[in-house]
Amino acid sequence: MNRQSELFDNRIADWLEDDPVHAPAQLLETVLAAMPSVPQRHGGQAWRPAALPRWWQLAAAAALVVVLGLLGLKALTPPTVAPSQSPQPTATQSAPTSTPASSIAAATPTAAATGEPLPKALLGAWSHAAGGWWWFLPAGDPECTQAVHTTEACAVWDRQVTTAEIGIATYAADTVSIRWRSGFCNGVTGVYTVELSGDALTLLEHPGGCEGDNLVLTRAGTGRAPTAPPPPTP
Amino acid sequence: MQVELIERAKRGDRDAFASLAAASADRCYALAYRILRDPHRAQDAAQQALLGAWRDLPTLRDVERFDAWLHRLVVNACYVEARSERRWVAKVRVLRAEPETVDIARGVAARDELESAFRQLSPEHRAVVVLHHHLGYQLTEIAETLGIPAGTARSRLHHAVKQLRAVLDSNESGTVGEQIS
Repeated sequence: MNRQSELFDNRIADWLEDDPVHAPAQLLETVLAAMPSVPQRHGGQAWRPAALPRWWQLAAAAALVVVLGLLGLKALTPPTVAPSQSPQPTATQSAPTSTPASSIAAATPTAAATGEPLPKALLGAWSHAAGGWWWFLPAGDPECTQAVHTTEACAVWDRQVTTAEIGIATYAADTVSIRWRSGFCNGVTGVYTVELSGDALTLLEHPGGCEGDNLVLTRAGTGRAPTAPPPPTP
Repeated sequence: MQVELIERAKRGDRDAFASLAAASADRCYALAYRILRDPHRAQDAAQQALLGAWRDLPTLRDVERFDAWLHRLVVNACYVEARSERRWVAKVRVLRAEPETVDIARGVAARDELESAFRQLSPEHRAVVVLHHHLGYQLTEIAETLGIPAGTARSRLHHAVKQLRAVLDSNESGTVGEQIS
């Protein structure tokens, strides 16, 4: 650092030093008054149906029966060819971590209605330069079904500071939308333009997201990126 | 002591969190003020961060990282506050023109120029400057706190300082002279 830079840095530091250091008394009073009305999140504690009212459990069970019935009907119906549409790739079938459940999920109206399946090239684990792991998991992956109760694909973002964040991921025209359902960004939908080049993946965040920045990721287990652990279980 | 308070607060002990909040309020406010440059918005951001800390504390894995985690909550609350619809409150300072106060006025003008230049930075760039120059964080610590790559932290700091210098250089002497004459 040269002398001029040092002087300038000192000037900034001195200027910041002169700003107030004590919070107004109301700040703490407001926080302490509001605290009882803010419930704590429970880290690592999965959503439990038993915590819901009885009538809600009955309604959920009835809805599940209807969905399974529709799925059964759809499975029995012979496939039809839609000439005006290009054939949709079934990423879930070709995904490296696909399970029997994933092929069922790909056939559900929910998954089909929300956009294209996640491209196969996105699926799997990614490493973040600042530490942390990002996973794109295919529709039907147990992590998605158990953590966020979706038959769609999901994304898991483990910053390794707080508990992992999990969101429902949908894809359309080089853009992935993630509706975060747990963790720091819970309730926020992040929309990212996907730039994939070899083992490098950049997620360019659109305004209004939670990160406030783009994510530069490297395919785990390639180059300097280590092999990823399995995604954390919520 | 703080670790014990954090552990208790994680388990829902309100008194423990009240003690933590009391010990952290000044620090949160000071950080928010330096980024937002407005006392009311800084207060709002610090309050949001502390309430967010209470809400999400059970999800904090490493209690040793409480301070960095809290700083991150404050910075994120500042981003939200900065993007809210409320307008920045302009700070207008009238400089006195008496010859004997020229030195004082020159100093005040220089500070106002720095203030004005800093306000032209985005919240993300301000945060990096404050973490580095006020809290003394190294780039890796900034990256870790903000959850961004170290390269991004470096480029933000570089860009922010460059922009500050550019604004100050362009205003140098001429503007100060005009304001105090």
